[in-house]
Amino acid sequence: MSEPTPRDARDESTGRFNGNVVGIVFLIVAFSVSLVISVKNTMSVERPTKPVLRIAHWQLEAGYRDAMQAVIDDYKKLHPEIDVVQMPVTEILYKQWINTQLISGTAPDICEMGQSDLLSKDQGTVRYFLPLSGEISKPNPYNKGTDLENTPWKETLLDGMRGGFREGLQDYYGVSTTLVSQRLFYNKQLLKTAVDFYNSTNPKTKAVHGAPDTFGQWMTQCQALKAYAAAKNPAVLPLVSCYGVWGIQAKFEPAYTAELANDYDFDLDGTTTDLEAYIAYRRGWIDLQTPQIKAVYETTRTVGDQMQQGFSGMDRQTAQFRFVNGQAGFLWTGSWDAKGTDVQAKAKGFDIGIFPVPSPGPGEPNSQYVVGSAGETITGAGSYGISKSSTQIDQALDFLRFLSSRAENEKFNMIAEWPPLTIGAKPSELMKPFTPDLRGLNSRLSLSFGSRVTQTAQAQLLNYYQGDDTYASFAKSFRQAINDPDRGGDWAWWDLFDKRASDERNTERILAQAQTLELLDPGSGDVKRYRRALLQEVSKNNGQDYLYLFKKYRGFDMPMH
Amino acid sequence: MAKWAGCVLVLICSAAGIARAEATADEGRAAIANLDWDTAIKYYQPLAANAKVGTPEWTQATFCLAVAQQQVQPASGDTIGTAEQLYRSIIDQSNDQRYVARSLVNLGRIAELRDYTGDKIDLATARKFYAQVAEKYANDPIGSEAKLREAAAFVMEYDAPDFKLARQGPPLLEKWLAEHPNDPLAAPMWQTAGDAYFMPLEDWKNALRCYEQVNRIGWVDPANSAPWFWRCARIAEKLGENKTAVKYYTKIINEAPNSGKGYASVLALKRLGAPVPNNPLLADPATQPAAAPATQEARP
Repeated sequence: MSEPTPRDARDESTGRFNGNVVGIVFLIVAFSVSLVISVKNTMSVERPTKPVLRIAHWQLEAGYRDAMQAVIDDYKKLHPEIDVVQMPVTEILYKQWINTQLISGTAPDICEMGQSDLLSKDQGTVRYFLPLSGEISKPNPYNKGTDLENTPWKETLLDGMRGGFREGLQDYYGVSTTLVSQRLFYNKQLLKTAVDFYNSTNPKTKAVHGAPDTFGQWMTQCQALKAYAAAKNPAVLPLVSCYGVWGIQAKFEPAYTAELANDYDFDLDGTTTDLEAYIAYRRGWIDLQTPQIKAVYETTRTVGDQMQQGFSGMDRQTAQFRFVNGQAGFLWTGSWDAKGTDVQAKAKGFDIGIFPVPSPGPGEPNSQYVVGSAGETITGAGSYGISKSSTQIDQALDFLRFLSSRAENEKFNMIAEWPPLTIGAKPSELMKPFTPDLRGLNSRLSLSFGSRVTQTAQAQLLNYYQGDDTYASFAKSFRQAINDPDRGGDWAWWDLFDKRASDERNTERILAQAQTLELLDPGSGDVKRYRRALLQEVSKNNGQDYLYLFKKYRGFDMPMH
Repeated sequence: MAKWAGCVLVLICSAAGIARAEATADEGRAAIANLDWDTAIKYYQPLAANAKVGTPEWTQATFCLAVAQQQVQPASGDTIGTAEQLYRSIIDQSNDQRYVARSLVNLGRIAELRDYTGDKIDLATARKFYAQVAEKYANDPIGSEAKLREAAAFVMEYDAPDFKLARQGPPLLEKWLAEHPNDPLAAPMWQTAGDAYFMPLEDWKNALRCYEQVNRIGWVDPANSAPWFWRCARIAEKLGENKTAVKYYTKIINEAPNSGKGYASVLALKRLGAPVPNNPLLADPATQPAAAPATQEARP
């Protein structure tokens, strides 16, 4: 029989483990480990052995942090002399957190732009972030060896860096890393089951399998899902979304009204603004009974019929939950949800398909008014700026160059499963359907003019889309709203005038700043930027053109509010 | 001995004062760079008050203070009135013509802009200040800017139906450009003249002629000029100048395919029977573009 030892911590009398001793030992070990980690972390922040570049963002979607880390790891291999850490912060807290950091001068070197006024409005941006126009006109050295080698950095991104451009400041404050677009997702297995079931009932029009080519085909598939739900699974809905139907309506507007809109593009700038549409409405040239305009609302109403009663209240989690649990055939959302949806769908044992909102095909209701499909434009997203308080501005710039180089932007977006933005960067298989399609029409007529009309009209329109109201009732409410002299279209016109005059006043501040700094330090100014801002200011005419147009088309002086 | 000690003390105090003033000016300049006009006023007020009138330090501080008073938010009759007084003191008492010229233009800006609720726009007074600068500093960049602003202040009258005043804007610019063909602001001047001919004067032929001049020199903001390219194409097509229309539709496809009018330009070229350039951005989205869009920067 061996002697009892402290090592096995057995109770001499009972031969069992002494719990107290084990607990104390465990506590001491845990405390020591925590202390070491805590001291190490504190030391690494307060007394880093090498410079640390910090990047803050709020993208907690599946894959994004891994993607950023992969780029960081690649960068550190090239630049072992510098440490790079990402600081993901939930979007619920990002605004408060980044505001505190910016105001106290301790902001991360690189910040994702947005969420807070300090990162999205001109006055905050100019105070806390670095203008980039001087840098982005030079080639990105990390594109060396590619056909982008000699191309200015700005032009290596598909949107020409417009995603980071601030119109009011006439400068670039962010480098975008990705782009976003919205599509319809469908549950391949559920749709096949529903279509097979529906077609077996010998309907007048059979439903097609897979992604539909026309709006009518899509609606027949929805019909199939409804029939399947009624017979087999009442929990199934044809379509779910937390984004309502507004994005879908926006796809129908150009499809039906692009040609008509061109007739009312009075200034021939290629865009029929809400003001131009209002002028056409006031002159009696268009109204809610204009067939092309009515077709937009009627088609969208058909989409509303495929969603749950009161669909506007559905949140993101519920929509996602219902879709990935096989309770919806279609989900309307964006590229940002693709990876999460795909992973969850696979875990549940089904595959997803993705397609754009289709327009009515020949012979389908309202198809006689369809003039083409809606086009898209490319606008960069996930934009990162460099805080002025950074002590490593050169390294921060260098990291952004690296992140937006073709190879790394491809890798970043491949891992995150977001669409890449750098020219030539290939998207992942999942992201291919999200590549914006520029081959479409962009002109549109919208009668929602001004915040007050829109607020009133949208509430009524939603009732119509949700089946709670008739088109006639919506049209009556709309007419009342837009003709209201104090809150309607005329007020919105004044509001535009007022906003334009204010915008011009703000441009004046940018010019005054540039003029003064140039006088204090001759030759220091950016001549191109100054010329751009000057032309922008002059071309807006102090808003006087709005006063002139009001009198021309309304026949009296604009009432001032 | 005491005399020498006194002198040293005075020198030390002066050096400290100069250093303090320089530090304050640096802080003021940083505030202007940040568009922080309140802070700029705080720094420049003592500098302007303590500097000897007419010296370079006084001119700089007074001008910066005037700009800050003019731009501070919210603006009021008081802040704008103070700015006006300060600019006038520079015009009367400074020898630095750069500051005098800019002060005159800024007095024009005060007259032209609605700075606060109830402020009246006075375009005639604004034009007088601009004309004065354009005449006196005709060969300086500020003279060009003043001429551009003078013409714009005519157009802004929008005096329908005969547009007696508005009509004077474009010829003013064309005359200036004939005298100063290499003016650094030639492109914005031609563009402004074109815009005025287009609206309110509805003289499309002259509008297109002016835009063609901009196109020759180079657009000021090429990345953001697609609306003008589209306008030129549409005007040309309506005037029956199809060759020019084709030129601008092609320009949109090559230089601004992402403007929202790229595909419409493809359709327009097909309608006109013209060759359609191949831009990868306007191809099937499954095909990734291989080259960057071309751009053209404005001269000089």
